Amino acid sequence: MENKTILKDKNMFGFWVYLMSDCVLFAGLFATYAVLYSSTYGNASIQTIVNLPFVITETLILLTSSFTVGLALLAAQRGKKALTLFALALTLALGVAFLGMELSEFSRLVAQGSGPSHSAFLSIFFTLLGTHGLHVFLGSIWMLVLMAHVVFKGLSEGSTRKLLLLSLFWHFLDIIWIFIFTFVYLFGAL
Amino acid sequence: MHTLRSYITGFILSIAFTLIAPALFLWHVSTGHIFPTHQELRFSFVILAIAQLIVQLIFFLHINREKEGRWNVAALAFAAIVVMILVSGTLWIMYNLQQGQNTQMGTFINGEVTPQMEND
Repeated sequence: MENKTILKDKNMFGFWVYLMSDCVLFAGLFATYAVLYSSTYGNASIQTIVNLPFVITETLILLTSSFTVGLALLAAQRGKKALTLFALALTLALGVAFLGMELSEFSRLVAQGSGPSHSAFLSIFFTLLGTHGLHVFLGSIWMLVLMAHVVFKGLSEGSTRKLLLLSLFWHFLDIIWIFIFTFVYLFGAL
Repeated sequence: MHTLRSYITGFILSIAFTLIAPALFLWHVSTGHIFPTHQELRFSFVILAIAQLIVQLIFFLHINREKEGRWNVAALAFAAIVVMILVSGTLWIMYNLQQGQNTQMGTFINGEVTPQMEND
């Protein structure tokens, strides 16, 4: 029993170290963005891309999903299976809605001839947002797998543990988005 | 540690911080881009982002100084240091690179123009 507890703490710590290194990956992207944001070569600039109501909606969706994944964890810790699944489904729906909005912004840009290869700014814009979006996408798949696990095998100590790691991942993505919201969109609107 | 109360507090605070920034921006637009100035706006956006980060760390990620979580905090602190070195170092180097290029261009324009430049 004693050994098992230590192992679990190691899992948790290992995942935390992964999150911190992911943070460094995003720092590199943010630094590149800061250097290249004005290199638009006459194509779309951040000022023409920003649509504040649209971005605020995206932010509120992601913040709410961060809250609901927390509720899912609380429900799981109290052994409430139906409530856990409901909160997870809500989180997943919000995550998919966020991805849909992001993809619609991307496709709009590509359609107007401002695809990722048209300027240094557009390259890093798509890379930074795309990397975050890819994380959200992978987190959504992880959530789907976890939900299937809970549906078929019920809540266990193991599934609650996995849900804890998933919630850390989801909150982390929320934090990254706050920085994208601030440094890309709010700064870009000025 | 993980309580409904902490999640609700975190949620309300993060929504509030998210909405303050655009509100400040609208105020800026409504005064004809005069007040608050761009500088003040940028400063408050950064402060709001940091406040948001702290709210999320405390109320959602439940970072604290309890004994079992101490190494998590150490990893976080190390990541923060790396991030700061990476971002400020990049900006510093690229700023100097740009300055250097500008001075070089300046000498081409003001001084003798090399044959290669004329071809351009």
